[in-house]
Amino acid sequence: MSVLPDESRSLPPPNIVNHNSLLFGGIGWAAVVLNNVGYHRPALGSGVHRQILGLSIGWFIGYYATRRENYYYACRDRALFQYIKHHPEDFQLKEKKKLGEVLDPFHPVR
Amino acid sequence: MPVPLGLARRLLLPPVRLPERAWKRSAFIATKQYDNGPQWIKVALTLGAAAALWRLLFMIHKRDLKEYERRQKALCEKCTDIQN
Repeated sequence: MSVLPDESRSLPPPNIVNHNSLLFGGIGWAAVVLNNVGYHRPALGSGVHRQILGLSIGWFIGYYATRRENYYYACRDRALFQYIKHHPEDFQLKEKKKLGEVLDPFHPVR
Repeated sequence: MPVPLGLARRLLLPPVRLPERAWKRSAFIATKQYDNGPQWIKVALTLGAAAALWRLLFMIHKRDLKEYERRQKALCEKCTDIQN
């Protein structure tokens, strides 16, 4: 099982800074801080090297998560547009009517 | 009174605080010593691993960006060939 199929390389790679990287990086960092709390160490001030490693691992995982996500949505969009192309009868544009034509004629009784 | 006073003292009064190091090194709650100073080898390995990960990330990003641009170019060339 490959993490990313070769087809996904036809898509532009996401930015280094992306939402999944931030999320998983934050989770990795928080895991280290929680570990510090569990061992009764100063939560934020101790083990900064481990916090950096936790952030980096999370960032890396998040980058791959973003690429998989982009690939999934690209496949879905491709299937969607192919379906629209093959079934034009389901996607006819309705002719636009003005509201004046739709409503009944108005005869004010004042 | 048959109840030993020592037991009553231990149960009812707050326990005597031993010096921290002695308490930590007792056989029942032995833990690693953490006030020996930073373990520089571990720190170096950790930071090295983090640096390697970041380098790998940038390398992968650059490689895939090049690959994407190459494929786009190949696609455009194919399109112009068909037109010609």
